[in-house]
Amino acid sequence: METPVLEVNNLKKYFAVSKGLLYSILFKRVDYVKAVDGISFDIKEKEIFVLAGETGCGKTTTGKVVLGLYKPTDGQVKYKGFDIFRIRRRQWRRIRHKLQMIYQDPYESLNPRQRVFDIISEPLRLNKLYKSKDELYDRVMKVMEDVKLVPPEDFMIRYPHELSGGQRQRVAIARAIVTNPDFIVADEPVSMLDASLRASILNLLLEFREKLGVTYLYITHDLATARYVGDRMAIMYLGQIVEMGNIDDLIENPQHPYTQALISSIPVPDPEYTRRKRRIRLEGEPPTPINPPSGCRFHPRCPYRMDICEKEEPTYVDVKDGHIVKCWLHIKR
Amino acid sequence: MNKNNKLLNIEDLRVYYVMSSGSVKAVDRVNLDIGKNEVVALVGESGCGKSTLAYSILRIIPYPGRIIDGKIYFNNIDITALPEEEMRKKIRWRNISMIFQGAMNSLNPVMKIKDQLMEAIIYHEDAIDDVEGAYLRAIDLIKRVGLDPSRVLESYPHELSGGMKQRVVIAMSLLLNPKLVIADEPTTALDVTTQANILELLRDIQKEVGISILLITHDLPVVAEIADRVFVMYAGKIIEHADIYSIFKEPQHPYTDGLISSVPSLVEGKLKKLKIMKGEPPDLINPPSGCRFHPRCPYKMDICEKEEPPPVTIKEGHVVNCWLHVKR
Ligand SMILES: Nc1ncnc2c1ncn2[C@@H]1O[C@H](COP(=O)(O)OP(=O)(O)OP(=O)(O)O)[C@@H](O)[C@H]1O
Ligand SMILES: Nc1ncnc2c1ncn2[C@@H]1O[C@H](COP(=O)(O)OP(=O)(O)OP(=O)(O)O)[C@@H](O)[C@H]1O
Ligand code: SF4
Ligand SMILES: [Mg+2]
Ligand SMILES: [Mg+2]
Repeated sequence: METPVLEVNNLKKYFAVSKGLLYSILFKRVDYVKAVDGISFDIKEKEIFVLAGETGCGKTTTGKVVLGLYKPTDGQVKYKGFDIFRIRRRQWRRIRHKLQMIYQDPYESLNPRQRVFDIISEPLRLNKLYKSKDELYDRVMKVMEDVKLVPPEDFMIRYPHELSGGQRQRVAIARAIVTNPDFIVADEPVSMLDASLRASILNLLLEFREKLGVTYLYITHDLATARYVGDRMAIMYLGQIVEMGNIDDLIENPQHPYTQALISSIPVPDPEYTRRKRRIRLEGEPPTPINPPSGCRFHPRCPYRMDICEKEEPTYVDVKDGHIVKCWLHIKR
Repeated sequence: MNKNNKLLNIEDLRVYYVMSSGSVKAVDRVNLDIGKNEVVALVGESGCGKSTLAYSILRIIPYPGRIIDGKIYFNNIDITALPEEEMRKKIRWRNISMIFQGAMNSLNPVMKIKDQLMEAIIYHEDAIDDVEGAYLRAIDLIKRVGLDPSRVLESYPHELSGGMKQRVVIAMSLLLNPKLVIADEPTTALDVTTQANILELLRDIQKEVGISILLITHDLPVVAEIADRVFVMYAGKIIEHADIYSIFKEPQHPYTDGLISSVPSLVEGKLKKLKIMKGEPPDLINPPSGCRFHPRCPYKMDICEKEEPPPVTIKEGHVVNCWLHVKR
């Protein structure tokens, strides 16, 4: 069997919550945000694997651990068979530029004191991936055209604050793809783009896969675009994966009550339909990942909740050819 | 002057970013109006000038941008002519407030929500200068956006989910009971369930206290959900506006049509191939001649690149700027 590009095993990432020194002394405890709490998945070569779920469920944290930007609390990440947290530093440095991230928030991630040209060319310069100044310039020009920051000459000399939201997002994309990486974590890469630009950027990502064999971890809450680009998808809820499988199957036959609610609340561009239709409304805010609910973490908001749900954590059940779901409704007892 | 009782009336507004390499014509002769109690959506391509238009209504256009000419009437007062002092004391935040694009990530990470809210309250409300009054007001605001004050006020931003942070930001925009709230992409960072809750919240607040909302977004499903009327912007210009039903059912401008049909949809079962508008986003320093959409338009005629199309009224309240609709 071929080794997957990425293997994630029982990954956990907890953040300590600072409540101040006094609090820690008085209560003799530190609280943890269990941002990622025991997730496992594989991504095969040239696959686009989608991670979806509501805000705060741990998607970005997963993406950052997978690229070695955070150290995991527990668990393992293997890139092409190498455990990325055990690999020797020299070796890691050699392959690191092959793994890139398109950051979620271009209001935060772009250095405000650098011009667009410097931002985009930085990964090439840091890793000495160019032979001449001309080559550097040409490569930056080329990616800027790819992401439709045109004419490039106009945008190159600007600072991030001189760009619109969607233009900043395209700078972030250009920076991530300029090194021709093998693996990209794309964290909500098109959230600020209108439908038409979005489509051309998505097609660009697909083209990289065809031509250069790029593999993606695609993070989003937008299931419609996810379905357009994705092969398989995992749905996260409060740090755990609750359902995973082939993307068409998952969207057409969602098995977990949370996935069902998610799909039923996708807005559609039709005012008559949307003002008539009924949604499965989820009660309340997602609970905090500091003290996640007992048993099934979704139980306080689940319309099908049974007694056992709050008592015991459900295990994964394979409902069909690798389509797995973590819900008591599917466990034969 | 009678401005048809509209809350906001923008007339022939031009806002340019004046740079050495040329002027970015971000807002170019825009007309737009918002009625009392109305939710108006402003949609358009990334970089077409939506945020810039919003900044000009609050008169906070970043350097090197400036209003070249045109008028902005708020309650029949031309606010482009107001001295800055008066703008700050009477209009900004008090009458017109804004939820900024990306705002939920700009909450101060080392300050509790309580302190951020109270600081804003004390800064703005001349009436409330005591801590207790400010605290009560903060509780009130947090409740109004459907959050639990006992949990949220004592939290730091990173302890809240994205949806909760966005609600806090909405609470801040409601601080001084404004008449008009400009919401710049308020839901893009949120997942669909949270998005739906936030939209419902905005709609409830809008009905309850009778505010008007200018909703800026590129997300057409969001527009379908909440807006009464829609203005479509392309390359610094409004190219079509109509009520919500007409715009989705009978879009008249080829750009609007393209925009609507390039939304990926899950409802139709099998996913259609995403339609892409051909061509590049327009250059706003040297915008295309005539109709700015002509280089990308599938129906382009000779006149399109020569002359700018005049506004044509299709029916009451539905106006389009496109040569296809001009009788010649
Ligand atoms: N550096 C950090 N310190 C403490 N808590 C954190 C940190 N980063 C993230 N968290 C918390 O971990 C949880 C998961 O956050 P994460 O950013 O991974 O969510 P997400 O799924 O990407 O959400 P969104 O869709 O809003 O981007 C959240 O509760 C968040 O507040
Ligand atoms: N400070 C600035 N200097 C020069 N040009 C600017 C500046 N700020 C914005 N622009 C340009 O003005 C145009 C309009 O920008 P604006 O932010 O209004 O777009 P937008 O419609 O809000 O786009 P988005 O949906 O991507 O946020 C863009 O082409 C942008 O590059
Ligand atoms: S396990 Fe129970 S609570 Fe959890 S989703 Fe299934 S039915 Fe709902
Ligand atoms: Mg995230
Ligand atoms: Mg904007």
